[in-house]
Amino acid sequence: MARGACMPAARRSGGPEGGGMRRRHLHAEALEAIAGYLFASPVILGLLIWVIAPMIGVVLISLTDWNVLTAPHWVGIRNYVKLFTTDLYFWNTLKVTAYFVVLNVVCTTIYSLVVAMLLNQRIRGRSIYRSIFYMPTIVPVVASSALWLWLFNADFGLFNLLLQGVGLHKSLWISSQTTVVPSIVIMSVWGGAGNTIVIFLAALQGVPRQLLEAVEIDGGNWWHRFRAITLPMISPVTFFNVVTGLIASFTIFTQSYVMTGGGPNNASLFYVLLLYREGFQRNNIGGAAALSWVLIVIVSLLSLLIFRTSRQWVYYEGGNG
Amino acid sequence: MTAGRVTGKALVYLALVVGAAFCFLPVFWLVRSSVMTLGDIFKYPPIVWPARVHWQNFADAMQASPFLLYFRNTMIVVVPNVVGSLLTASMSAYGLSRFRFPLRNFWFALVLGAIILPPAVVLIPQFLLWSNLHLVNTFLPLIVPVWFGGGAFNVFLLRQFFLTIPKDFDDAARMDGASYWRIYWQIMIPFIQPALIAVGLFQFLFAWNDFFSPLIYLSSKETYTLAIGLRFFIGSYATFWNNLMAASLIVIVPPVIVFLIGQRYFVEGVTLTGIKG
Amino acid sequence: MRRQVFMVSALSGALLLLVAFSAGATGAGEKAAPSGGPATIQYAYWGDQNEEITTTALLKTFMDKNPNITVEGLRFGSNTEFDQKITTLAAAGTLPDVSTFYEPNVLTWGMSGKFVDLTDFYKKGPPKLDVIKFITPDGKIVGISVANEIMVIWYSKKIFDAAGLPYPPAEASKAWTWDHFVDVSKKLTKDANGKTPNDADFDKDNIRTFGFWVTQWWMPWLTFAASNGGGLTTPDGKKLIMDDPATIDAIQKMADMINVHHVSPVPGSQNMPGAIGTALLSGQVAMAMDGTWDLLTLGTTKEQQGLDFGIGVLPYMKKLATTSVGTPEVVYKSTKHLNESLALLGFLMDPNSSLPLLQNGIWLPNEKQWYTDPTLLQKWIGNPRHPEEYKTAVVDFALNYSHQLPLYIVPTFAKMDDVISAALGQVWLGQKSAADVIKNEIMPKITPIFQGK
Repeated sequence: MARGACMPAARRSGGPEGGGMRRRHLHAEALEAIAGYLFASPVILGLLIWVIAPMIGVVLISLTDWNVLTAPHWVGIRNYVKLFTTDLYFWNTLKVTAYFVVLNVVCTTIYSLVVAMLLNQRIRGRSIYRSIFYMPTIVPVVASSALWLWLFNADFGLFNLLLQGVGLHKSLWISSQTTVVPSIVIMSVWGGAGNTIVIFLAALQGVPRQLLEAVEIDGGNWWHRFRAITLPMISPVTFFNVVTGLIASFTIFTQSYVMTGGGPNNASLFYVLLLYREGFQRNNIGGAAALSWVLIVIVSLLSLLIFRTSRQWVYYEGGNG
Repeated sequence: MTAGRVTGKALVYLALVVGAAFCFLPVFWLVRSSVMTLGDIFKYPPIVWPARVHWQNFADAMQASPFLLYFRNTMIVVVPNVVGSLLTASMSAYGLSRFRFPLRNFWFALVLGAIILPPAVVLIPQFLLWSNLHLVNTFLPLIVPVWFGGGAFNVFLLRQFFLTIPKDFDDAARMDGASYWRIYWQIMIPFIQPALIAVGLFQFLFAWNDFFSPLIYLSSKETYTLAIGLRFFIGSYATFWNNLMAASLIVIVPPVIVFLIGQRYFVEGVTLTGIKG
Repeated sequence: MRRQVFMVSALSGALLLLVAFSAGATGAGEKAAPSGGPATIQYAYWGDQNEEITTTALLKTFMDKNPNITVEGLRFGSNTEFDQKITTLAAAGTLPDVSTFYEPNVLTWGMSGKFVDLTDFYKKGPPKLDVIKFITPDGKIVGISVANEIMVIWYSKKIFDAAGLPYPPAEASKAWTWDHFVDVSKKLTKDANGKTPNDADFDKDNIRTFGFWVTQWWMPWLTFAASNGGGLTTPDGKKLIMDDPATIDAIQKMADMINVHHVSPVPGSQNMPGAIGTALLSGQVAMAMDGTWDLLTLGTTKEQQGLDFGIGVLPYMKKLATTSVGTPEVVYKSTKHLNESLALLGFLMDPNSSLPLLQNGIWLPNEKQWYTDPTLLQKWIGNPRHPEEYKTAVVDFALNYSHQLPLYIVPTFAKMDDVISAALGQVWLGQKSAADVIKNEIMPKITPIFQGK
């Protein structure tokens, strides 16, 4: 930080010579600040217009009873109170969304890590495999939703045909309350694991060979190698994948919109779907805004929590304790 | 020992094949259904590959829905999207990483916060803004926001990249009298090229497949993108599944081509994303 | 310094939003001032490509007849998509002048004063069907269905022939009782080994053909509830009778088709688009209960793929019944051109105008005389698209046995249906009895909604 080191020296001198130097430094500082602001202006303006202002707007709207059909009236925190007490869907939605988020993150992380470890072996055709595993990520969710609707069909779908073909019992997949979320998780892992796999693979390739060999020499098998060396060494990347996975999972919408409509019996009525329905189909804009704000709070708290606990299990190469 | 190695290897291959089959199967099913007649698609026992490839489905799909129009619309949205995000995200990241100015860390903290913000929660006020400007059902709501920093995540990512470039380059250039803009354009940009390519590719994919924003903002057939057009192909009364699958394939092909060509950059990009992140 | 900057940006952000927000709120209904003279009005509707072509042609005919009126057609994808879009248009203050509308929300919008009162309009001209007008609790007609649709039985002749069974009756006087209907369904249901549910070794996990397809949205169960003497509300819409034994019984009977008699696929299978046509064509289902709008798709499937289908009247539980529904047309109070809008409405409502849509099978007319007058009948069912039995199975059946659906008179229908559809899922899956779910889960939730709490 050459500039920083410069500064105190300039400040300390008080004589005319020092004052001149100081003025030049200040001039350079100002120039830098202006340039910096100019360069950063797109994102700063963007934050103001597209993030901060709407967030304030959401709060304002959530304090009204606006339903598009009539002029809005202030109702204070009534929408929030309703949400937490009399709303028929809110708590259920929280539950099923949380269920999906946890299941999705766990499954995606484990699946991606396993596949990455497999790809990390010395095998032929690795890049072909890698492309195949990445391919589902490119398929637009709308297209795959229609396709998976059919795959999941309880009576004529391919999956049940396969299950029966190997002598197993049929499943109701997305037609039953108990299996709808796991089914959507399967579809989500299929389409979403691509990025995670590639990231894990790169991280695995960065694990120093000497450490792994050291464990082998001491008589450890692959499990020891994994637990003692691999896992800790890739923990920053795991952390990254978990955080991004969590945030992305909260916004699940298209699958439930296209495939299940929130059912059966609201078992797939995910948060964003409920928000969309309330705001755009039931004209309850005030309520939808309240839902929005609650989600912001939830996601923020969750992120904060994960960041805090990350110290426990994430090892940075510089060491952080 | 050797036998163990062999079985170990065999297991690895087996697992990979199973996994790859899982990934590949739905895509294969899509392709197969797009070249069969409607009656054959649902036959039991299922036909794995038709005896005669029924290309007519593609023609029917293109006729039933103006896919060329949708393609044009999608390009109208995607290209400015990619350009805007590359330009403004890199500019903003440059500003946030290599300059000192008051509140810089505050703004960066907001960028981090914006990353975790689910888009749906700010949807309603944003929508109101656009509708009061009477710009709903135009492409602007889908393009303009990206020109303001190109996505908080991209800013974050590129900033991390910029931080890895030693300051000596900047200082040397400044000594030579270069303006900040020239430094940015002629030194910084080339330096972070792999990251830029990755960001561009991801932004392309995202914009191409985006369903939610077009759903909210686009109302008429003339403005539909492929994602929405596909959704409405499913229709309210009935669809011919063979045509739907053909239409889906049409929508999938360009990203696949982009992926296959830019595969190396994709992987590099995703890798860099994760490592630096 | 930091805090000040934050405050300033927060305030300016809030200001920006307040401006946008208040403009939107008061702007609801404001449109650009008319320039006088020739009028331009906007007509919004939903539908697929076919309907767009026909509607555009229709609008053009109207414009040819009314040279001083220009109509802009605005098409949305499906009726639920329409619902979302019209909300956004309302928020933006740019509602069209005339449009179709998503049925369950007509009354809520009407009661908020969004629509023009069409009572006088309704009284003019030839008598329309009684069952298709949307009436607010204070007696105003705020919307009228431009078309009529009823529930009928669609069936695959091929499957019936293969089983050697007589086709479902096309005349109300010969309609099957429920029990007979169940019986026939069982005979048509075949597992992978060709066994029916009547056989001891019937394998219910391996059914290849289903006798009858029970669909789980509101129209089918409301129809059978009416047939059984029950329903969601009394015909005047004033009292909830969801927990009436007749209603419970009707729903349970339908659910039993799935879980006890094993003649119907599991619900959720219906989320597949194009279901009925492909199901009949591929032999997955022998009979299905669905709306008369299917004639367009099934007719096309017959012409292109050779599907040999038939239409039958519905079976009855206690009395003959079907229900009517139809795309509503509304006129917005915010219109600047009321007379032109009403002229357009009159044109659209005239069955002569929508003849192409009547002829291709997607619509039934909204005027009584088109069901009784032989000359008029010939105009719309005298073509190959309409099978022989159409007159008795659909026209007469609709005219004589159609019941009005609660959504025409009960404003809280949509909200109640959210609860009902979700909860009934358990009944269709056979997890709980209809009595249990309706009494313990549905009634406690829909009663306050119905009372407007």
